Amino acid sequence: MIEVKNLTKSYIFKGKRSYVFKDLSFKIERGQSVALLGKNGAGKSTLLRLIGGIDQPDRGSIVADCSVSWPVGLVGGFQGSLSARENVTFVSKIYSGTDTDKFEEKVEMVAEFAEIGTYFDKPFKTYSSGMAARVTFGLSMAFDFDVYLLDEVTGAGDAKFRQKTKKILKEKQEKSDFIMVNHTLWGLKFNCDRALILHDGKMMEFDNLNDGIKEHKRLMGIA
Amino acid sequence: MAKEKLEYYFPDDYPENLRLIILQRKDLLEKGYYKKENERSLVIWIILNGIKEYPGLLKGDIVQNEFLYWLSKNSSDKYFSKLPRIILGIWDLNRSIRIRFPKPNENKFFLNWIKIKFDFLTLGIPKYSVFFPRIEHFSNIDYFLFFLSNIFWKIKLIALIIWYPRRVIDGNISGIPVAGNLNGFQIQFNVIRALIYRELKTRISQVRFGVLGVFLEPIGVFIIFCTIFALIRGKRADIDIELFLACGIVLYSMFQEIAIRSINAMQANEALFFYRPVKPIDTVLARTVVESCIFGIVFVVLISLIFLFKEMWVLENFALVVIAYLGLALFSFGLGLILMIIGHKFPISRQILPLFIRPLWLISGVIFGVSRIPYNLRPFVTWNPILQAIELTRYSFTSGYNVPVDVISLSYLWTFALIISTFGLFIYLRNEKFLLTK
Repeated sequence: MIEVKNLTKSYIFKGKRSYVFKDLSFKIERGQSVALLGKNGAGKSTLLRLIGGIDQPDRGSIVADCSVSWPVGLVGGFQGSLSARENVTFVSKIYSGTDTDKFEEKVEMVAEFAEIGTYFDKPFKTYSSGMAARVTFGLSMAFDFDVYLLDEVTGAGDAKFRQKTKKILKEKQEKSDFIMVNHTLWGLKFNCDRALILHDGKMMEFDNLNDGIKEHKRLMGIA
Repeated sequence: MAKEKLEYYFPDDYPENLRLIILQRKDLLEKGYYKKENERSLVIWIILNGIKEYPGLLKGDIVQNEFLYWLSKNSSDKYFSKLPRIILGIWDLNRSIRIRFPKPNENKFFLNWIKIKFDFLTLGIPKYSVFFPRIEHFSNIDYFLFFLSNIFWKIKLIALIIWYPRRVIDGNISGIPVAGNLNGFQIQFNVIRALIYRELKTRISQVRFGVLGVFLEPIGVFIIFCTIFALIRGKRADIDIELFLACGIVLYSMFQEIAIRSINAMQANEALFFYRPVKPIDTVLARTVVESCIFGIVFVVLISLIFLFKEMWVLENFALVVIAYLGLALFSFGLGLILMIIGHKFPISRQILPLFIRPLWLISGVIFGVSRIPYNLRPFVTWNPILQAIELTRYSFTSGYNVPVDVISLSYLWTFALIISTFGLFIYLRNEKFLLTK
């Protein structure tokens, strides 16, 4: 269960404080996967970062009694000058728990999943967005989290990668939940039960995903 | 009336002026102070009354004043023959010390403890350094252990300050880490291990010639200065000039690398705070470990080369080298932590701070020893813990190296390091949330 209470986050830009959202409260139970919808800049990624614990809110609290992944996305978490292998080794060492020598296994797992051949040993900044998505997604799937935070990662990549993603997400869903942000919406339909819409700093909750998507399209003005 | 003739046989080592004083005074003779077994009472009398009645008695140093020399030698008492006479006298006089150290002869720490307290005793006797100008156990492992036991609660406090918030914060928000519920120490260990791995990868890929390149820079600086000093200025130090320079350059470079790299630690590792267990403090900690290991290896390589090609040095006090090195590393860590926070709070300071750090090279004793500095100017350089560490390292190679023991001390270095690192941890804790906020 992840419980968010009175969450407020703002940024100061050129001396002016602008709020991303104010006093946001909601609750996500175990066993539900949630689609996070909203237009660009509505604060979806910020919310994921706050839940993942890598950014701090101005006010409010986030309480979780389960393990939460880092926000898996195209940006962040990888050092451009290092290769994917080195980056993955780094993360595996952090999350290796008490078996401190198990990280090599994880690295092989990610390399197998990513299927990018020799690029796996080249600097990360030389990767195309598809290759980056394969590595970042593969890395997050190598560990068993209770809740995964996925930030548009399934949107990139070719048809084969999508096929693979679909398969592995289905496997993971038996034990874990997702909080997904996705603009292409196809990934959400397979994996999510509920929808949350962030609009103008407010949160709307929908128990049915299709209702949520309908409302989202209405707000975007495309349906 | 038959003249009463008394023979007084003093023990052989009694100084001349003491014999005269005792012979002149009837009350002392009656108490039997000329006898060997009354030596302890004699010392007590000297401390309590003798100094007041004969003000000139303890003037000068032990070379000129035979009496001072006598007091600083070991007692002839059969139970306390390991203790110098003056220290045994103080122990006899002071009830609180007697309670604290019931068996001073067997307690290793007593001599070290009294060394620190000596100058604060209000007995009117000269300072400790007058009695013991060249201290035999200058700073050995016993002293270090004693020092640690004295500040044990402080270290516990520091440990608490570091680990406790990590456990609380992680427990609250992100919950359980991946492989079961780990404790703070396991998380910390994993994170530091991973960061050291990454630090080594980037450090090696930054310079040319790979691993070798990391070691080439300090060795290059060393060779240049050896040329300047050995060829142009000539040999003028108490120890081998190459050894002298190696100590200075390696220790100073270690400090500078940690301090200057810490200013940018946050920016260089921005991508890594993406993973929840990684906190800003870990980057500084990892850098300290990596740099101190690299320069430790550089130091060993340099002194081995000197041993092979130049001077067959003998390391007299191995423990002191290690302890001084660790003290300097701790100081650099504390300072690095403070600099990282300043650098994050005021981005402009990232350009300014190195301007203040680099000139420290000139006053840190890299190219001079404290004994070469005029006495009245010493306070302006000896506040510097880097200089203290460098001079202690040189001293540990040979006790023939002239170090003014009144201004250079291991306890100063460690106290300074602990104060700085505690302060660093304190302001880090106040600012951790700020550092993690984007």
